[in-house]
Parts: sequence; C-alpha cells; structure tokens
Amino acid sequence: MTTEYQAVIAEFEPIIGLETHIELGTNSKMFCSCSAQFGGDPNTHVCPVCLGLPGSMPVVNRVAVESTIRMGLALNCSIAPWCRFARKNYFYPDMPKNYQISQYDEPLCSDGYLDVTVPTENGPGVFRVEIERVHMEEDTGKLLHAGGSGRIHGATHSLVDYNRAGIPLIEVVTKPILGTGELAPEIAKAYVSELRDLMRALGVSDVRMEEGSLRCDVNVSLNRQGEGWGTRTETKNVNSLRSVERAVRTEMVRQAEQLRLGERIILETRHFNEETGDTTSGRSKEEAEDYRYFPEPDLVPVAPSESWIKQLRGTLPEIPSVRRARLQNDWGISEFDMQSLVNAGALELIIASIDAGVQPSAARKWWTGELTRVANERDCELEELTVTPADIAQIEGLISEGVLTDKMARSVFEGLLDGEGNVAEVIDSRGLVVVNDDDLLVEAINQALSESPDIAEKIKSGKVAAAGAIVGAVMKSTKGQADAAKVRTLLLEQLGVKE
Amino acid sequence: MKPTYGGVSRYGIVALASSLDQAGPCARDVMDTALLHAVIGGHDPRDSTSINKPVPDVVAAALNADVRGMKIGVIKQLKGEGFQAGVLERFNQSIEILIELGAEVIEVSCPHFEYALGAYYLILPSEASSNLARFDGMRFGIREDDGKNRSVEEVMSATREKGFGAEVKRRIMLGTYALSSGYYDAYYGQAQRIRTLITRDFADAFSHVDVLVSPTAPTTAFKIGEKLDDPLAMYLNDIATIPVNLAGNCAMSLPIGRAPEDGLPVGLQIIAPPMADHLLYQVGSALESALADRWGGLLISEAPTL
Ligand SMILES: [Zn+2]
Repeated sequence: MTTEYQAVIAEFEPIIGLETHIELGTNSKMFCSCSAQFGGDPNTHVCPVCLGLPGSMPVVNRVAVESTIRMGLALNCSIAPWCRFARKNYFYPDMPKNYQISQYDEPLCSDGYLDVTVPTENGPGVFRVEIERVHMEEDTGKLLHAGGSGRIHGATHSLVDYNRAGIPLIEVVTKPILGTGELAPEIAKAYVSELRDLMRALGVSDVRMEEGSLRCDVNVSLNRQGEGWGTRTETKNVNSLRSVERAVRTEMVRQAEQLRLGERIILETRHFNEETGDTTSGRSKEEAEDYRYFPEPDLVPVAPSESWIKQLRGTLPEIPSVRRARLQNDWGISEFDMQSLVNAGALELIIASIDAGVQPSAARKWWTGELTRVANERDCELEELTVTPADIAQIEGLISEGVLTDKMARSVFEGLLDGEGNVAEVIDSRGLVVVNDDDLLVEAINQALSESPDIAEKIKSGKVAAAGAIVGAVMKSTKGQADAAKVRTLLLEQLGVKE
Repeated sequence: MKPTYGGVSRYGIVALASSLDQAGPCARDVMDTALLHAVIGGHDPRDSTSINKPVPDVVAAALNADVRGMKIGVIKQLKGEGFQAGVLERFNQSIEILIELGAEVIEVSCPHFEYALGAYYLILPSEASSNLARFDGMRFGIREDDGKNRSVEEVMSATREKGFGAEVKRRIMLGTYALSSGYYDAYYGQAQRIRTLITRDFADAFSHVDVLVSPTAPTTAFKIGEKLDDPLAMYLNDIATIPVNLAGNCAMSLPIGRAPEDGLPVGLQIIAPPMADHLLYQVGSALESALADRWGGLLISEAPTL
C-alpha cells in the first residue's frame, strides 16, 4: 500500500457502489430467437425484432428470466411476484429502436446480499455487500468508429454491428457499501470476483471477461470522518477484476487531492484507462439525462409463480463460498492459502486442472507458483496466460510417463507462455526429449566413471551418497534430457552396488 | 370493427400506441366483417399481448340476428351536450328499432368517461413518442443527409423534421413532455389511473346489460384538414370511441342513416365486454337487417361513386 493511499485513508471515509452488467449465456437473445453467440460476422445474428424494424415485437426469453431469478435467489434477494419491463428512451445509433427494454422501478429481484472474503491484518475476513436489485435488460449494438484514430473524436464515419443488440444482460446493483475503510478497493474486487464465480457456478453465464461480457460501473465518494456523504463519481465500463480494484483506488486518491485543494467533486461519469489506471472526466451528470422511462406496452408483466420459484430454488448449486470451504478441507490447506489462491484468480483454474486429471497438489503448485509469478511480472490475470488446465494435465502426464523431466517441463511452460504453440509443438521445437535409451545412458555413465575413478571407488566401497556426483555429470553430458532417478539406478547396477 | 385488445395480432403493424393499437376488419356489411374477423383473429406467439384463447364464433353470431330478451344500455354521458341534433335523431330512431326487435333498453351511467379524452391524449402521444423514435434515417426509410459531414444527431434531426407531418410532431412533443421526469406522475401516471376507472365503469355497466350503445361520433364528418388548427375540436370527435380503446374491450360502428341537416352518414357504436366480440355481430346484424328493410337496401348503396 502506498503512503499516498494511506494518507487518503487517514483523512477520508470512502463509500463505494457497484453496478455490474453481465451477459447471460442463453442460446438466443432476450426478445427474439437470434443466436446469442459471441462474435460472428457483423450483422449476421439479426432479425426484424433485434433490428427494431417497424411492426416487429419482442417476446421474452424464458430462460433469461429463469437465470435472473436463480441469480436473485443465490444473492438472497426477494423475487417480485409481478413486475414489468420498462422502456429507457434515448437516441443513439447502437440502439435499433432508440429505446432499450430494461427494468426500472419494478426489478425482478431486490434486497439481497453477497458475503465476500477479503484479507485483513487478522487473516481473511468476511464482508457483507448488500444488493439493491437484480434486473434484466437487452444489450445494445456495437459501434466501430472508422477513419481517424478509431475513436469517436476525429472519425469520419461509424459502422454498427447489431449482433450484440438484444443479448440478455443481467444488472446487479449494490446498495452503497459503507464501512469498508482502507479495504474499499479489495472489497470491490472481491465482490465482482465472487459475483463472477456465482454466475459460473449457477451456469447462467461463463462470464468471458476478455470478451467484455462483464462490465462494471464503479461509484466512489469520499467524506471526512463524521461528515455527510460526499458527491460521487461513476467510472464506467471497468472490465476486469484488477481494473475494478485500481479504479476504486485511483478515484479515491484523485478525489482526495481535489478535496484537499478545497475543490468540489463534480457528479459525473468518468472513463477508466486500462493502460495508465487513471480515470478521466466524461459526461457531467449534474443535468441528468432524462430517459423517460415507462412500462413497456409490447410485453405482458412477468409474474413468476411461487411454485416456479420454489422449483428454481431447488436447482441452486453449492454456492462458491461453501465450495471453497469444502475444497480447503479436501486439499488440507489453510484458510490463508485458500484465500491467496482465490486472490490470485487461481481457484477455478486449479479446479479445472484437477478435473482434467492433474493431482491437486501439482495443480496448486503450477498455478500459484510459476504461473502466478509470470502473471504478476506481466501485469495480467492468470486466465489471460496462454497456458490452459488441459496443457498442465498433458505436461503432468508426460512427466509421470518419464517423457519429460521437471526441468524440461519448466521449459515447456516457458514456450507455452511465449506463444510458441501447443505442448507438442514446444517439445518438438525446443528438442525436449528424455534420453531413455539405456545403452546411451550406460555409455555416458561409464564415461563419467572413467573421468572420476576416485568417486567410482567410493561408491563401490559402499558410500552410495557419492553417486550424486556421477549422476550430475551424466545429466550435464545429456544436457538435462535424462531422468536422474533412472541414471542413478543404472549407475548402481553398473557398479554392482545395492542401496 | 375494433376487436378486443389482443384479439388480433399486432405483429407486422407499425405501432403508434402499443397499448391502444388494435387491428380490426372493415367491410361492406356485418357478415363480411365477421368472415374477415374470423380469419385475422386469434393468438400469435410473436405478439405477447395477444390473447391465447379461441376467437368467439363471430360468424355464427352474425347469422343469429336476434336481440329478443337482450339488455342494451345507452350511455348517459355519450348523448347530450356537444352531440349534433341529426346524429341524436338517427341514434334514437335506432334505439326504437332495437326495442321493436325485442331488446330491453335502459340508461347506464359511466361517470369517468368525461376524463377519457384527456387520458387518451396523454397515453397515446407518450407511447407514440417512443414507438416512432426508430424512424431516424439510420437503418431504413428516408434519410436527410446533405453529405456535408453531418453528425448523427444532425442527420436524425433533419430526417425526422422532414419525414413526420405536423400532427405527428405535435403528438411526439406532447408525449415526450408527458414522460419527462418530474411530470410523469402528474401526466402519464394520472392518465393510467383514469384508464383503470374507465375500465371499472365498463365492468359496472356490463353487470347490468349485455351490450352498450352510443353514437360513434358526436358530429358527422368534418372536411379534410378543417380542424388542423384547432386540435382540441378535432380530438373531441373521438370522445365516444376513446373509452373503448382505453379499456381494451371491443366495439363495432354500424351506419344507421344520414343526418337530416347535412346529409352525411351517422354511425351507431355497439360495445361489448372483452372477448364477447360475438355479441356485437349479433346485435349489429339484427339492426342492419331491420334498417335495410326500411331503406330497401344497405346505406352503403347510397354512397357517391368516385
Ligand atoms: Zn433477432
């Protein structure tokens, strides 16, 4: 923690709030039967409904409603027995109808909470984040600004891809999060991470953050101890866990600087710069845009029956915090170790590796050791590395078959991380093959023995510990491509010595 | 004919006011209208607001031209002040015919109808302002772009300025205002409450009678463009049909002769509860055949050829 940040905390109390949009993993869009798959050639996943053509009408995707209710239940929310969609009206070319179908004052789920675990001085601590609401809405299309720098400023024209228009989104809004103190950035990150894990556990979304399927708006305000709440800013579209943490931190530092200079904080939206970690001023919210919300008259109200809700409650899986406690016990590790691998973003990757056949201890070793070190060095998330749980399973398999040594395995990882191809390609291009030919090894052993006759005598006289020197020499002469244990066995055999 | 809201799919119809819009058949006589209704009516999975129930047997009802023993209510609020004398004369004559045919006619009161026009002209423009927002020149239709490197906002604005007529613009502006934050409750919210009261008026009335009747409009037709400068007078012409739209039940307008003072056609409106569209055809065809007997043919045969 920087002294700069410590000074902010000494003087101010932060209040944060998070609005998170996550794309649901349904097959079809929110209000039509178009594919909700990510990507595709521009404007190929479209129809009259999601293009907003005159005369077209929306029909609610039942699975999206179901996913939202399950998410609401997992977040301990109450589910509205009756609620409506609303139109949010504003003109923008990425929105085919010039209104977005969303929910306004009648959200499907409200008043819940999510417990998150954060590291504190006294070990991991649980912090309860209260949830204001969970609601459904449709995503917009995507604008591509052409000509100029690719940004809206200076562009000569813009292209619109409506493939994303109408993809179901779930929006989860927290109540103002008070009392975080210096942990505000960590709590924000832990909350989004927990939310992501929960969505994945429920199977309602695989939350591909690199594809922008989770977008977070981060609200931050500061006030001096004992004073009323400060004016908040809203940093839009923060797209990764690390960025959420950084956005809270940098915005706290920035606001503190302003306040110390006696300047007021302007109610505004801010943009987060992924490269610098800074936020820059966006649109002022002092004159709030008027979205002229009103109930969507083309849709009937959503009225989930009690029996349906009860049935959905029965489909809730083990929630991530319970699952973590179980795994911690299974693996026999401390709460601290569990928490650090969660913080490193390694938990799901370790589980996936185990599912792929890797021993739990080996899976933990790779992800929390070497790979975490590389991720930190590269300033990126573990899951962004070009190593997959399947790669680890394959490498571990090759080690146990004696095809790779530990040392060679590390070289394969290097190759994978540097983008040299898949496991087989890296082994091939780096020439990583264990010398398994006994004749070749015996030849190398005899060569080493003849170079160190004194050591050979020692071993023969029963000082087996001296064998290490010969094994080392053989490993050296085979450029590390031999299995040390095997060399040792052959050596002792050669000299007729028993362990 | 305006079928029950949700009785005919709206899919494919350019929306003006989604909660009021309802497609219906229009034909030369009651039977043709019924035949058309039977074809276009029914549930459509692509329109969530369409009713998932069988269409009432309107053709059988049109064949059953019999009002004996039926209770018909005349709406007190839709026959007094503001109604042209010739319109009322024709209307009263038709009531006498219905009585002769064996119907029992009583007067019923719908006290909230006087607020219907105000509510309608808040709900319709509000929904229209949103429904018509997509006509912006970005994806289809006309596009006003002079090629001088205009911004999106400038092209949208010029396109909408050119593409919409004066009355449409007036309604878009009214609706945009009515939905604005700070005004929503006073305008749109209040209009929705009135809508509920009007629906309740109908429910009360239908607990006493089978169908309701009134003149379709307070006056005969005004000339095209005549009241453009006085929209309030123009809107008042809808005073009798608007309550039906707000409540979502069904109604039929039937030609019942011409007003003596200007020789223009007069319509009688029959109103039934939601999904009782068949009653309209039953009463309509009874009245139609009684009038045709008197005139020696349908009124439409008197229409001028163009
Ligand atoms: Zn579509």
